[in-house]
Order: sequence, then structure tokens, then C-alpha cells
Amino acid sequence: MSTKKIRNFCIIAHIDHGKSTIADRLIEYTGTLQKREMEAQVLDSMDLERERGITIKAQSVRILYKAQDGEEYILNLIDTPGHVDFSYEVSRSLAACEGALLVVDAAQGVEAQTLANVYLALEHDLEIIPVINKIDLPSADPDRVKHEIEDIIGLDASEAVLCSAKSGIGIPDILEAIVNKVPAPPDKSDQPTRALIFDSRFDSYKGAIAYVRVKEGTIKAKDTIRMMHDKKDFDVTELGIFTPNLVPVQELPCGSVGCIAASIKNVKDCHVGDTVTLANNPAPEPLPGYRKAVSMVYCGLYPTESKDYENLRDALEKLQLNDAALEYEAETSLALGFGFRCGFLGLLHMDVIQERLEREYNLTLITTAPSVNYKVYKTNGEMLEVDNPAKLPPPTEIDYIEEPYVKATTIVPKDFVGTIMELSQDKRGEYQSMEYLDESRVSVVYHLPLSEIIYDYFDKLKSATKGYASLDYELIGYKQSPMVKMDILLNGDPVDALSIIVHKDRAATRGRALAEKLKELIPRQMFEIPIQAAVGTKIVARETVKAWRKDVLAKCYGGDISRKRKLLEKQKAGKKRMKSVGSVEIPQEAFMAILKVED
Amino acid sequence: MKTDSNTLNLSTLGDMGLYVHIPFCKQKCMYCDFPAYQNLQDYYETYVYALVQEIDLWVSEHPESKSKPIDTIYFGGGTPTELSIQQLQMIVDKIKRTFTITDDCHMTIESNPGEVDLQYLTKLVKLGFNRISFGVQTFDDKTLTMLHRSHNGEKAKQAVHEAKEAGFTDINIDLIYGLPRQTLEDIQHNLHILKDLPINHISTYGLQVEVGTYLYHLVQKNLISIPSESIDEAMYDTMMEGLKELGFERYEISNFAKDGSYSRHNLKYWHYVDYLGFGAGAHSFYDGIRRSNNRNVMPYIQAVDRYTMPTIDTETITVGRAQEDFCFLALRTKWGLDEQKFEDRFDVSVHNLFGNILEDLVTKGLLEYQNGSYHLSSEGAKHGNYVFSQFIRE
Repeated sequence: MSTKKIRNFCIIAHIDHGKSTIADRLIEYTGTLQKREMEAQVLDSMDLERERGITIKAQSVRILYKAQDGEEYILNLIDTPGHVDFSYEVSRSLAACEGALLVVDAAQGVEAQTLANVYLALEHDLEIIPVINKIDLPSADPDRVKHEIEDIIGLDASEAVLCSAKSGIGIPDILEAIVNKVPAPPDKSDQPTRALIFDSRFDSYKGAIAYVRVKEGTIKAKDTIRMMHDKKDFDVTELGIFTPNLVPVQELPCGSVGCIAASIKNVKDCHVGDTVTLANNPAPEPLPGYRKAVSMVYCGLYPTESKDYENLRDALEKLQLNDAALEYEAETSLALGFGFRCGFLGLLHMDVIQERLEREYNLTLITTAPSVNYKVYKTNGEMLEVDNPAKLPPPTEIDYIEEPYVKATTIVPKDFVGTIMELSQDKRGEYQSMEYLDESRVSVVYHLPLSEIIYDYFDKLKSATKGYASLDYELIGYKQSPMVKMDILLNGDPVDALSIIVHKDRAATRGRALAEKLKELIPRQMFEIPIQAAVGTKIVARETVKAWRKDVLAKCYGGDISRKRKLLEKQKAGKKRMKSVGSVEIPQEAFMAILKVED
Repeated sequence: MKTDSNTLNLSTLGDMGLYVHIPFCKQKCMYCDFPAYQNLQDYYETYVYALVQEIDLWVSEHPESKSKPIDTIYFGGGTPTELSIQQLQMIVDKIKRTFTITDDCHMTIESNPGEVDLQYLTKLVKLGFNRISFGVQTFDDKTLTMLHRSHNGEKAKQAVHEAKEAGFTDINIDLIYGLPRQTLEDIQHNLHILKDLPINHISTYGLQVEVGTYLYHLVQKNLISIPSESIDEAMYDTMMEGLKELGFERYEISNFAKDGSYSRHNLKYWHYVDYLGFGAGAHSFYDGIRRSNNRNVMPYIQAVDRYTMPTIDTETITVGRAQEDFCFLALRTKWGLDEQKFEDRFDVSVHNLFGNILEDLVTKGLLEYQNGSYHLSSEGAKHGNYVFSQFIRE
């Protein structure tokens, strides 16, 4: 089969501009799924994704379309995750396509966050088809939006498709544009097989399943495949395509998109970005662009009830099967007992995992403040990697500490350049370069400590630029920094799970802010609770949670015991999310307080 | 009606109580979130008929309850004395004709000072009421005026004396501390006045700003301020100390009695004894089921008119829940949580179920253990809700 009838494409859109709705309509219009089979927004299949309106795991679907030229085409829609934490995953999905639909809201116009993905798509040489959605809105102004696309992005928008995914207007035009404009994959079926893994997933019967785009050669159902980076061989047990339900096929020819099951026991052996080749005729080189998933952020996850420890371990094990980027290892905290140190791609990833654990596995968790991984060079010449502030050796044993730095690229309208610079400077950033992308857009590059990014840089950036900035960052290495450990003492006792590592010049300010925040978060108890922030033996801040003196004596009229009981139940429920550390009850939020402080 | 405090015969508490709710007031107090409504005079008569009807509906469903002895009747509100003597008589007669009322029955009625005169009070005694409870709240005029109460300090004293004269053997007054603009001196002044009043029972509560009340609105808008927490605590301490000096014994977390003149009716709530409730918003606990009536007067009347019970909530109490309720209710009283009584009732040791909790609370100094039962310590009484909530399991 030739590749001429295949089109591989993705959809790029700002959040809320209608990506999922368009995907649904394409699926529905082509009869890929009957209307009654459509759950609203087929592609975002995780509950969490649907609620947050973001895509966490990429999905794909094969659409059969009989075009106006009378030929039937195979359109493979590859969905992409939409958050800075997952930019590597996005780049792998884009690498699997030849074209992209750029969806822009007819009323809102081009938004800054769209830009980063457009540039990423252009970097991968994708053919971009502008689609102006929601043209039936009263406030729609497609002509203005066309101009914006031309001015800001520099794409020819004269043939932009006008549509309203909600009411089904323009859907055939989109399909025609895909067929006519997106290039067919190059036919390299005679070359040694190379297929790009753009996603993976765990199935309890079939093992880890690789989602691939066959770039060169062919994969057949009886082949033995080789993961080129991991250098492991597996016998194919099943090949499939997505309609969007998985349908088995005998081969995945060049240019096609599908999945491979090969009794791969661990999703770790099925790395996104790795290249699949055949064991009996391996390609000489893997496909470019492979990057090992690196944890950027670490935090401790502890069950509020110690009896849930085993359940938490089981849950993490199961989640990891599906999520190769999640790392965890057992750790103990004096304050919180037995738990796990977990590594994540970013804060959103951390949030998502925590929420899935709570929701899908019914656990109540305490999450400690996120930390990055520090390299601690000890006076005895040893180097220690520390991702948990509690594990930092005493200052006398430390020669110096290095912290991870990232190259952060921010794209903003030019009016906000000053704001970005101020913010980055404030976050210990080092200016690198600035470039005008066009008359009004600027790309600003800073080197920033990763720890500053994970605290609140992104939130501050968004609020300072009214949401018009987009941020992308990549790890560039380690730099020496005067970091110190700050301990928090509650009622005189240090609570290890509240310790943070902080730049020494900022310790006092952060300590004060943190103590103030904790005072807000820790409910009054039967005794006074002093909160102290200390660097070494030096107290840098102190606050006090006053004692809860007494309850109000309440009237109980006419024997309304149920009401009394409901009050008590409410009080008890509030306690459930608290952790007793010594004699102090600490609410879950307190452990994340550092994320909420204002410098 | 005096009982030796240490040998209170809890077996008489086995008799049922009966509560009647009269949801009418001359004026709704700004802090009140009970079912109590003003300006409904036109409906008093209809309401009384509905209440009588409700009793009929109840006994047709529960004929056996007619023969169970009832030794307390409590008319609460609202302000039951908003009704005329004739209207009250209709209800009392209906109760007496329907149920088995013991000879020594405690009959309490709630009232407001300044709204009843000696003549009316005398007629209440004739109807069989032997205990009256006045919503005095405070004797301080400036606070009373601000709360839009219809009485002043003088009228409150007068009402108590008149009730005595009319023949009430037991007189209670309700006092609230922590009222807007109330001072510690006001509390001391109140205590001073109590010395010379012929009362043998006091209920005292801290002011609670309940969502939906007029007071809540005022506090939210910062139009009114309530005493700070430290003053509130000083008021509480002053009350506890003062009442003790005056010879009032704290036999329940918010109730105080002289010479063992306990409110027998209220003890039924804490001692887990059955009680029937009639009227809008009334609650009952009967045969392991807690029921509550519609709080609103019109739907209440309409339901009964259609010959349907005005119940809006029914909860069948499971054994597990009964065990919890039993504990935290018992701990409200000075008799406390008795190991033997718990075991007699549930056929399991309280230690098997709540051993860790009891131990923990004793260690924290919130409970004291004495002669086979647990009681709140004075610190525990201040943190009653914390102590009680420990007994709620998941």
C-alpha cells in the first residue's frame, strides 16, 4: 500500500478555542463513530482531562474519509498534550505528523500561548492549516482574525477554513483541506524500519503498548522489534489501529500510525521518543530528538492514615505502568511517617498524579512542598544528590551546593517585556537574549534557577502579563548557589516535612512569609502554637497560633440531636485531612504553604 | 420535684417526654434561627387545630404510644404564651386525653418576661404547668433595647416574682453571654440580680451568630460588633464561677440547677430516652427513629390538613450510631458516661469500642474518670465539641 492516501495531522489550539470539539466533529462527520457512541469529547478520555479541559496523555484516532476527488483517505489525527510540563511529549507528537490544524477562535483571535506550539510545529516542518472556529458567534470577526494570523504568525490566512465546530459548519472544508494541503508521508517502505514512539500506555492484559508512527519500512505482526535506545527486543503480539477503539491489523506500513503490543512488562521499556526497529534488520541510526524523561520536581507523598501506606504503594505502581515519567521511592519522615519521594515532570504533572491517586484509588494524601534536585558537594569530597530538604547534610559538612538551572523562553507582547525582565531578575534570573518575532511579539530568554520556576514564576508570569505570555523551559545544567536549609519549628519541634531549601539572601523574607502563611493555615488548637522559621540555630521568623480557648455553649432546642450531631460530624470531617505531628494537628495545605507565599 | 443530685433515679427517666412547639413570637430576636415567626397572629387558631390533628395522626400510626407513661411535657418555642389560655388548654386537654400522663408529670412552658401578667400566669398553673422558663437573656436594659426584646431588666425580675406568686414551683431563666456590646460588668450585674430571684434553674448559652439571621447580616456588614474572644471567655468564666457561688450546680454543659431541680425533660435528650414532638419544627425520638417536622407553619398546617404526618426527615438510628450518640450525649451531663449503663444498653463494653478515645481524652485532661464513669473536666467543658466529635466514627 502506498503512502499517498495517508495524512497524519494534529490540532494546535489555545485552550478553549475548540480543539476537542473539532476533533469530535471530524470523527462524527466521517462516520468513524456513530453519534450515540460519541461521548462528548472522545479524545480527552481521562475524567481529569475532561474536567481541567487539558490533554495529559496523547490520543490518536484513524479517520476514513472519502474525499471529493472520489478517493478514500486515511486521516490519522494525533492529539497533543497541552501544557508546558509536557512539552517534550508535544514535540514527539508533532514529529509524528506532516501537518497541523491551527485553530483560532473567531472572536478571541490569536492568543500568545498558541504561539509556542505554532513555532514548535514550524520547527518540525509541519504544513499548517489555519482554521477559524466559532464563526457563528455574534462577536466573531473572521477578517480581523485572518489579519492577526498573517501579522502575528506570518502564515498565509487567505485560505483559512471558516467553521463552527459546535454547529457543524465547515467540517467538510476542514477535511478537504487536510487531504489537499497536508503532504502525504514520504514513501520509504524500502528502507530499514524506523518507527517513532509518541506515546505509550499500559494494558493489564497486553502489557505496555507503544503508539507509533512508522517513518520508514514496515512492521508486521510476526516481527521481533527492537527499542533502539533501550536496546531491548520484543516479539510483537499484536498490531493495531485506533478507530478510536483498537482494531487489530496484520501490518503497520510506512507512513501509518498505530500501536504495538509485544508483552512489554514495563512501560519504562517503552520510552516516548524512542525508535522502534526490527531485530533482524535494524536501522543504523535511531530517529533524532530522543530525550530521556527527567524528573524536574520532587515531593513527598504520604498517606494521612498510616494504614494506607500499602495502598499508596500499589496505586503508585499501577500509575507508573501508565506513566513512565513518574518516579518514586520509599522514604520516611519523622513527622509524616512512611511515604514516598516522587519525581515529576513539573507541578501540573505532580498535581495530576496526586489527584488521580486520591480520586481513582480513594486515598487521602499529604503532599510536601515541591523541591528540585540539588547537588551537594561535601567537605569530604563526596557528592550527594538531594531532592528532599530534610536530607540536606549539616552545614559544616557542606562545601558547596549546586542547583539546577533552566533556559526559560518567554514569548510576550512587546509591552510586557519590562514586566518579564523585572520578574526574571527578581527570581535570580540571568538575562541571555531578546528577539523580536514580529512588530509586536518578543521572545525573551533567561537562565533561571529551576526552583524559582516551580515556586510561582509561571503563575506570576501569567498574572503580570494578563495571560499573554507563554513559557517554555529546558534544563541546561547545574550552577553553584549559596543555598541553605530552612527549618520550620512548630511548638518548638522541627517538622522535617516543612523544611525547605532556599537561597540564603532570601531566607529571612521567605521565612517570614512562610510563618505568616502557616499561621493562617494551622487551625487554633487547645494550646498556643509558636511557629518559628530557622536557618541553622538562627530564628529568622516567628508567629503564634493563639490557643482555641473554648467552644460556644449552644442552645439545643426541642431535642434536635440530629443537628448537634451534624455539627460534630462537620468538625470531625475537618480533622480527617489533618496530620498529627507531635501534639499539633496540621492541615494538608500547610505542607504546600511555601507555594502560596508572596515574596 | 427535688431529687438528691447524687442518687438521681435514672429509671424514672425511662418514661417518655413530650414536646410541643409553638413557632410564634411577638418579635423575632435578631440572633434567633429557631423555627419562630412573627406576625402570624391570624394563624394561631388554625395552628392549634392542626397540632391537635397531628396528635391524632400520630396515635393512629403508633397506637401503642398511648399507653406509654409520659412524665414530662414541654411547651417550647417561639413563645408558647403567645397563645391564649383557651388555645393552650385545647392542646393540653388533647394530650391528657390521648396519652398516659404520670401524676408527678413535669410540665414546662417557655415565655418572655413582659408578655404575661399575673392573671395569665395563674391560669397556666391551673392548666397544670408547674415549671416556667423565661427568655430573660440579660437584665441590662441597653443590650435588651438593642436586641429589640420587649422587656427590660425590671420587667424580667417582676415576671419571675409573679410566676412564683402564681404558683410555679420551678422557674428557669435563659441567659446569653457574649451579646453585642455586652460587657463583663453586665455579666457581673446579672449575677448580682440572680441572688435575690426565686429561681432554681438557669440555662446559659454563648451567643452564636448563625447564618441567615439578622444578626449575621449585621456582623457581616460590620454594623455591629460582638465581644472579642478573650472577653467572651472572661464572661464564661465569670458565669461559671458566679453561678457556683450562688449555689447553682452545673449538671449539664449549659444547664444549672439549685437543690437538684433538674429539668427532667431536657435530661431525656442527654440520657437517650424517647420523646415525642408535635408542632412545626418539632423533633421526636421514638423506637430508635429520629423524626423532624417541617419547620414552616403553612406547609405544616397543609400537611396535617391532608391527613399526612408533617414529617420531613426520618432517620433510623443504627446500633453503631446509637453507641456514638449515647456517649457524646451522656458526656454533656454531670452523671457522665457510665461504663455499666453503656454495657447494659449495648451489650458490649464501652472500652471495646471507644477505649483509645477515652484514654486519649483522659491523657489530654479533657475527661476525668471516677467510679466507673467518665466526665468532662472543666477544661473539657470548654472544648465540649472537640471531645464529643471524637466519638463520631467514620
